[in-house]
Amino acid sequence: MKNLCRLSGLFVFVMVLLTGCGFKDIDKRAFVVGIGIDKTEQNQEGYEVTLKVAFPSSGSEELGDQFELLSSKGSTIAEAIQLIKAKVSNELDFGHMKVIVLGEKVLSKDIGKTMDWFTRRRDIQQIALITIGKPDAKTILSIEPKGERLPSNKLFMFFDEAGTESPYVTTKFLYNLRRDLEERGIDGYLPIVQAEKDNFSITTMSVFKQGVDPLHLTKKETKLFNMLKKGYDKESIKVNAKDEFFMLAVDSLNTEYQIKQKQNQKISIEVIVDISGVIEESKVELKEGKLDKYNKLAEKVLTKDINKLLAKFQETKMDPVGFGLRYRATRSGTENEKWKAWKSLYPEAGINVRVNADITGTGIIE
Amino acid sequence: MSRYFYYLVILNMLANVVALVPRILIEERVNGVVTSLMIAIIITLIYCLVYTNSMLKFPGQGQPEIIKKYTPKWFASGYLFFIGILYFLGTWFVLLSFIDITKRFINPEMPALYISVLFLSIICLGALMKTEKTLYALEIIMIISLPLITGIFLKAFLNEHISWDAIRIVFTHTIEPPSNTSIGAGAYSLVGFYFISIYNRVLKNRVEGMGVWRIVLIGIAGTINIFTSLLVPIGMNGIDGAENYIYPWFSTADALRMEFGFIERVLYIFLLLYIGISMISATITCHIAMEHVRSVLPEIKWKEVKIVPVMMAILFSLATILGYFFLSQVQVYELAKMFFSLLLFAGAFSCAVLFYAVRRSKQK
Repeated sequence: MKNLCRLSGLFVFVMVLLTGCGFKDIDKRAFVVGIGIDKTEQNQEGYEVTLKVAFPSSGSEELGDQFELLSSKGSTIAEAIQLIKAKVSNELDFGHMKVIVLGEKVLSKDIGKTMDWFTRRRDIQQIALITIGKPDAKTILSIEPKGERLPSNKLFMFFDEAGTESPYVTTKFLYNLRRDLEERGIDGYLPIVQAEKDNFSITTMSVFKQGVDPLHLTKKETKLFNMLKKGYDKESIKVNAKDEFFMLAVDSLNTEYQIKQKQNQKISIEVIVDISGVIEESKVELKEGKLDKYNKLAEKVLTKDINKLLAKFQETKMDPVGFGLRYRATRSGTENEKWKAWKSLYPEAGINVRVNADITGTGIIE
Repeated sequence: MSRYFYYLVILNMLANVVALVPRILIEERVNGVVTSLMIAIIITLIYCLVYTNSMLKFPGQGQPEIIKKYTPKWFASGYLFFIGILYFLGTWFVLLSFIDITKRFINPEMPALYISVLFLSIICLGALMKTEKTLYALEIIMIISLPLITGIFLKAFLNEHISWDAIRIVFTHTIEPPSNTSIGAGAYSLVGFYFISIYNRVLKNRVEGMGVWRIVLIGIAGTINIFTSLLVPIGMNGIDGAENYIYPWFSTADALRMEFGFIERVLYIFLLLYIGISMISATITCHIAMEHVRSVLPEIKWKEVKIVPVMMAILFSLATILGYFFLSQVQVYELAKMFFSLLLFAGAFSCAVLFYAVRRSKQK
């Protein structure tokens, strides 16, 4: 009898707790899978927010086109979302939002302010993928590629390395971008998704920091940067000399860099790249015995390219590789002093690139 | 040494993530935090050696019995009451943070009062159980959570996006004067051995002495744990970006990704594990607090039921709910800093008192 009393007491207690209405049914929710932020034309301050909302449904057929695009304008992102809420009958759920597309124009000047909404909200994944949309975010979200299983799935697959692994694609998560924006000594960078008819292509990227116009990289520079930063080893390098031309398929790649300081207070950035691979394609006949020569050739070409890229960063005072952070990590003193010193040292720093190439063969033919 | 003793020590190491310790350490990250942590670990290990060995001289007895037997009555009541209040405060901080975490990360629409009542009812009922039974609950939770939490820690360190340069910056500030708050916060993660003050009653005949090797083992585990809880949030969120997070570890868990795990967002797994850890941690500290305080209060019975512990549970629940509604997060954070520094001195005092009791017992 006593047990029964206790049990019923527990029962009543649990029932009291269940009166909340915090949880809404799945069919009363609208799952946002992607968000796009664009700048409005007329208003300087405002944003145009586009949400890609997927409809939950049973069955496993292709659902790539089962989505709705909702967009609204507002002076802040939160305000625009409020207005979008007025357009849908379901509760917007941001918990599954895996991709954030920023319009090209949003990127200029105050990117930190734009990202604030994303990092402050608790329901937005810190592992959401971020990319720049060209010509604008809305166009990217509205594309319906063929054979998509879920809305926006193709876009996720590009970035999260579960699908394709391309040397042009740079993966950037939300927390990662926020870190780069806050950190003194490294600048942010994002891949650019170009809209094509029924598809995307990702071949370039953009480097940016607070208060400065972004720096767009070319295809070749993007590839080189990914190689340096990510140690991306599934790529081919074009080696082009007077009478030799071949493509080097990279097997392994390792990049190291050091910041050295000489007596005269000037610093030099030493970059060492170890690369090994086989020759993938050639327009002239290659000799197995001449591998040493090919090594030299590859080293020369790569050294030149990397030097050029780093000089470009230095010229524009951008530092996406994180040399400044490395400088801070290897010096003592207060952080403000280090940062001040670095800012005056970086534009005059010497850059030494050393590439050690090791071509292991000419493929299965000579 | 009985495995239960290790559970108690490890429990507090894990629970520090909820108890605002990482945030305090991160705030001090460029002010000689490495030195502070080293000092904290050494001090606590000395306390651990003295305290545990002294407790083990009295097999089957808890701190209240020992203190009452060998010290004057006025001192014993004051001291035990004070220690009880300290344990209550420890529970209070864990609970306040976890109620806030639940509200922020799990369900912002649920009223804070419901969350508090839900947690408090579990903790108070748990704390009113027999000492031995709380240990069994602890074992179950540890067996489930420990491997998964270790996995998450490892996953964080092996993440390719972690910024090792940011972590290296912390070490460039090693040779700088340590601060009192970071020593206190660092020491808090290792204070699990104090729980033996009550659990000594049930660890009878299962426990031998506390040798040097065991201390070294606990020291290594503690060092790894406290540096993990400081460095991983810095590596994931950056040396300059880490300071803005209110619950650094929960934001860090959200930045981790298990592509082929059950759930891609590690945050939810982490939250689930930490509900368990913080509930059992609060239950155990609350139980110890009650045992201390009731030992100095007269036993009152009402219809065959001892009502003093129940009254304490109700009072504590009220204090928690009032604390949540009347104190801002900033105030709780400042109080926690003071509390951790206070614990350092209280630890020294406790060790001294117990040492005195051991000497008295030998004289008799």
